[in-house]
Amino acid sequence: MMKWCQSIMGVAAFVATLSIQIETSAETSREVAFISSDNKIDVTIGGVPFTSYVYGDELSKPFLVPVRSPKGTELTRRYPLTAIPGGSEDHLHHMGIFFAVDKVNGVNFWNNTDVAFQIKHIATDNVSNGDGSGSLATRSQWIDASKVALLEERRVMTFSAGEHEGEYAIDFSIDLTALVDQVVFEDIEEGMFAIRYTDWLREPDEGEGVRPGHPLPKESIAGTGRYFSSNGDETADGVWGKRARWVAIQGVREGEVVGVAILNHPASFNYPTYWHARDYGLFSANPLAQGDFQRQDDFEKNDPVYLNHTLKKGERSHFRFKVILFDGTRTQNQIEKRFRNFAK
Amino acid sequence: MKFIFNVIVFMIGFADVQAAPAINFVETSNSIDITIDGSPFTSYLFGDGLSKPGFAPVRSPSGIVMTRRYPLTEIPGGSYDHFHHTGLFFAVDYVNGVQFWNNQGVAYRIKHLESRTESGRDGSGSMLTRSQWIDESDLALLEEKREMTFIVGKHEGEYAIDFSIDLTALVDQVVFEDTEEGMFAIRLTDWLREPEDGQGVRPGKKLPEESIAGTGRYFSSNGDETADGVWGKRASWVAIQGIRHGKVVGVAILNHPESLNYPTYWHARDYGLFTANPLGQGDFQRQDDFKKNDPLYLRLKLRKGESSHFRFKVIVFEGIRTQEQVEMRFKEFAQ
Repeated sequence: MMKWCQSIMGVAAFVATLSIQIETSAETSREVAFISSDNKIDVTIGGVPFTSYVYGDELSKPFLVPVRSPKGTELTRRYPLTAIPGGSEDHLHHMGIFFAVDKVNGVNFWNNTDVAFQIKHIATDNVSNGDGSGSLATRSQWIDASKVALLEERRVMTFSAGEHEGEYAIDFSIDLTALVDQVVFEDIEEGMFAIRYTDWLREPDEGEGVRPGHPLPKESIAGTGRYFSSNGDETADGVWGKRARWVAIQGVREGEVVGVAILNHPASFNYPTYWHARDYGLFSANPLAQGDFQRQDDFEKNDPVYLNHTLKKGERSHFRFKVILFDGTRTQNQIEKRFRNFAK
Repeated sequence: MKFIFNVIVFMIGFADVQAAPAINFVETSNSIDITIDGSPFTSYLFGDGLSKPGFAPVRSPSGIVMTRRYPLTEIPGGSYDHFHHTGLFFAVDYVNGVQFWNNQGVAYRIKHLESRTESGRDGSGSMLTRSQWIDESDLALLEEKREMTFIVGKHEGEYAIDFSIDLTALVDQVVFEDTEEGMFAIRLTDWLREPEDGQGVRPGKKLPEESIAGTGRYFSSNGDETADGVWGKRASWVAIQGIRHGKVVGVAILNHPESLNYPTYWHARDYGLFTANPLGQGDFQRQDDFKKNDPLYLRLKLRKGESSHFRFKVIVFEGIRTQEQVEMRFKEFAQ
């Protein structure tokens, strides 16, 4: 009996020690590491998968997919890579986090699932692991149907963990340089810095998504998301087609509130960007489509001011966004603070 | 009993209607005075000697003068910079090369042509004006049509003017150069200037001591504060408040989403110039801290007969205001 008790206590002590070790390691290890394999770079935090940068000859553009919250909840749609029963099957070109835009010298780099023309990953220029922060520098080319590279894209993605409790973040610093005599971006809503979030974050038809200070709605694959922005606007209807410094959405998944915020840096082209944020799951910042958004605005007192952004050979445009993946409900003021910190 | 109660409610309601301020327009040969229940609110000035029409002075509900009168009137110890900043005005530099903003002469000018007014007993009155922007060779480049609605009594301690402005090109092509010198502007009374130490009026903080050197402090829809924080950025509204005659008083300018190149950039300075400039885009981007991109110049062009629409609401208020309070006014305006 005594022996039995001792062994039980021994097991309990072992379990206690183990759980302490696990907690300790979870608290202390924020090591951001990159694991390169064929056409894929996995990003891990404390040894746990965070996201994967995927590219390859069959993909129309590079993606980060899936992207997880600190607790491991998947925040992006995997489809068409993986289908989910009851999940959405629209817009095959929306997956994970991606950066593309339509009508670049007439080419649809956004609305494209093919590789007849493609944003092609060329090289990984730098990989640096680090405690709490690690970065990945990539180089791609935007290639048209006749295999001419129109643009070079240089991107630095800095993955960070532990700066704020319950948050992971990715800072995207992107430069597009014209490789041909003239590159013209048509003003069109189909773009540009985008996340296709998981079906559970979609906005429900009745607009009853997650709101700070209100009872939580019941989790559903039909979605419990609700957008809110730096302007104080709410829902896709309120946010769509306006300029804003940041937009966020949050909903319920795995019984808890999770969400995504996209912040636009003041150094970014045509800041503050317009937003192409839809209730069905597409959440995108589009600084190039100014004229297309103005054309669709409710007031129509002025003719749209088209940008028709043009880069001559060697000219460059800079884009900068930060994506925050979070666990737990966030308020307008909390995201505003993150923005202030980013915009310094 | 219920009947009596209803009668009382009815009478109170009736009394309220009776008490709605009356807005009247008193016209002279070169001014239109706007009075509220007989007390002066502001005057629209358009004499032949003026480079542009403007409102001066503009008063708060209890009669405190919120705008600088100089150079019309001098105040001992008052500022005397920028002769072209008087009261509330609308102009911009380099329109087909002509400086309609930085201009005191009348060699080229914005010339008032006609007006129509409609007095109101329900707390609002309106004034329609037509002007022309005329270059040195007496050629009218632009026609300016304005509808101004004066609103009183809607919110306690506030007067408001809603400006709806259309500029139409009268010549083959009118080009607006991107320059910070513009556009929808108020030159604040010296008492509302921002002090150098940044210690202006802030909600929840101890009030500074009134001074002609100024106790003002800007705040914006972005949550930015002070002229440094607000200047050169886009925002849907900006406000400033300071102390005058022992009270906190202030001015907010709201930009309507239907207005050209909304949300406007702001050319708000600590020395008293408070202006929204939707046309100076490239000039503001050129001066921004980051310089990662080439400035995107707007270079607004209007061909003959084409129009641009501008819309702003000015609120003059008494009593301290928070960011949330002005934001509520903006949401109401933007509906």
